[in-house]
Amino acid sequence: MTLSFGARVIPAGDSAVLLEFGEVVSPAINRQVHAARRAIVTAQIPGILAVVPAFSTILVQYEPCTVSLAALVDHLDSLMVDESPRQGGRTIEVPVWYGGEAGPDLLQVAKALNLSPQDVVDAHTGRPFYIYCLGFSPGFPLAGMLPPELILPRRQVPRTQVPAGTVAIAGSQTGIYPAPSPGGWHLIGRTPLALFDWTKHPPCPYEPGDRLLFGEISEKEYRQWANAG
Amino acid sequence: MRIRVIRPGWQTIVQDLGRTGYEAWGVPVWGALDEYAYRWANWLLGNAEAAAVLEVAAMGPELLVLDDGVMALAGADFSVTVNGEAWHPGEARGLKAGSEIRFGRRKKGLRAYLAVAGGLAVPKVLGSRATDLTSRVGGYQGRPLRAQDVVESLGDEAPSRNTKRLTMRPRTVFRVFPGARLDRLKPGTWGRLLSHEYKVSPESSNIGLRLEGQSLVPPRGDWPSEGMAMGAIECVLSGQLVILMKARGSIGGYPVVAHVAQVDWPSLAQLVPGDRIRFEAVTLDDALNLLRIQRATVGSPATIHVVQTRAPFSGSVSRMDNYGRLLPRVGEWVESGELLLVIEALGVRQPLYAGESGELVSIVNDGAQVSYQEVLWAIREERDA
Repeated sequence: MTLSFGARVIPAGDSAVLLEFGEVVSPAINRQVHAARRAIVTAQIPGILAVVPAFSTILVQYEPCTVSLAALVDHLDSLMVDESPRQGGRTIEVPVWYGGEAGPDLLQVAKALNLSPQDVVDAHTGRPFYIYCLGFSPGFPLAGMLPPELILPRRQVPRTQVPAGTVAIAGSQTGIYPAPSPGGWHLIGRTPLALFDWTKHPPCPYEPGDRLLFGEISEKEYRQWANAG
Repeated sequence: MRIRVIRPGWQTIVQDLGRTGYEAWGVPVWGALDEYAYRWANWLLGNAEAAAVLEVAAMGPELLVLDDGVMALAGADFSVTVNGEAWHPGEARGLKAGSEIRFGRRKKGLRAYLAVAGGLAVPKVLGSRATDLTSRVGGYQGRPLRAQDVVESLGDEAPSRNTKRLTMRPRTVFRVFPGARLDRLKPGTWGRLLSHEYKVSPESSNIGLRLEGQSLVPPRGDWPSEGMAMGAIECVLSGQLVILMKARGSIGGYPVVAHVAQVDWPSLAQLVPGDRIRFEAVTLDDALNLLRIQRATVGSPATIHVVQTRAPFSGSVSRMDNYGRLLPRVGEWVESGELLLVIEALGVRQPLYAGESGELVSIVNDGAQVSYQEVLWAIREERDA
């Protein structure tokens, strides 16, 4: 079935439903996702345990002994979702030391794309990237779309350890590893910003719908920044 | 009450109901994997629903009690002793300072829960005391316990309750619903899933249970990642299956073939690598009915009756289902109405079903010849008192 705000309802077991707004990745669909997420969270529907927005879907996890699937769908269907495109979202500036030990894949990436390393940096810093959702690891922003000249499939062999703050690209997306973790993306630089704070609510300086604007800094500036912070 | 770790065991971690509410920031929930056993452990001490406990897995610890206090044990049977005396799951115990708690041979299940009065005193991180081993936060310094660590309870006194009920639900048949993304896989995938047997891989963790066995036709195509529910069975690129557990990433990209019903989530936590499991379709009504009964069981009194079922006629026993998979084994929790064996005589195949719910304590072997009125199986039934 389809809800009043245009999402298709797909049951995901007896304790969750997937709300699908489309099957492609686009900021327009993603804005609908987050408008609906805000409406669901604000409505405080009894029995809802978690609301997990992604690119074009929301997973709603619920307690089936508290709210039945039918009642949940009725609640969702009656929500007033503000579908007018939300003005802006914030633009978060992210300083990045590109290449060198911070971006060990930059040279290979440039070679594979038939560009100079500086071309890659220019293309990555030239425009803001829309954050679709956070996931993969806490605070990891999945942002895009990269311009066509930067699109590469992910690495064949993932790395077992990627340092915190590493800026990476894969497919049409770019992201930042907030904490050390394994990773299969191409590592092109590193930011000195702390991106996830387990002691704060919200724990992240950005949220879906915001934009990341990367800016190049030197290794020296990176080190000064990192030591100051 | 303080407790010192003498030997840590394989993975002894602080867990509660999990770090919920931060999925939109990409934070995995973690939390006690067997919520049924976890709730029992806290109930035995009259603790709050979300009190933090120790989750013990695979190989248990050795602990030294530093102050007088009370503790409770639930879940898997690890032949636990206190100063050499048996301590069974389902029992709360008053313990004197100097008592030695020793986990021994693992007899049944994989995860046990040790509760203390008021829950364990560790700092909350984003609203929860659960250990997140991936991000190394929460719980006791974000890691499993090590020798010489000392954990402390929030409270000093608690009621000390016992139950005769089994405080876990060991099962190898998992009730499932069709996956949200079944349509992204080849037609016939659902039938394939329901007709094969799978083996739990040693590469399983609180994040996911990896299954070995008949692979499905791998998914073709690339879809945007989306929220992944607890119990989702995803089909990865090799066609192998992974059942997502509480420590899973909040979003994922592989198509979901099936979802394990919530009533069986606690049973997933008790599977041991090497266990053979199978899947069985269930209706929403049946699954929720079973879930309500299971919820109401925690903390409700019971009397125990071992009920025997006898052969209605002489014949030979088949313990296999139509696909050649072994039906529920001794030690498993069976549900009333569940197929346990088939008797064959003079070309007649008579399926026989469990008449009550409970732990299967004995059953005749596959291929056995039984005579009229011979005992086929016995179920340890927990009757509401």
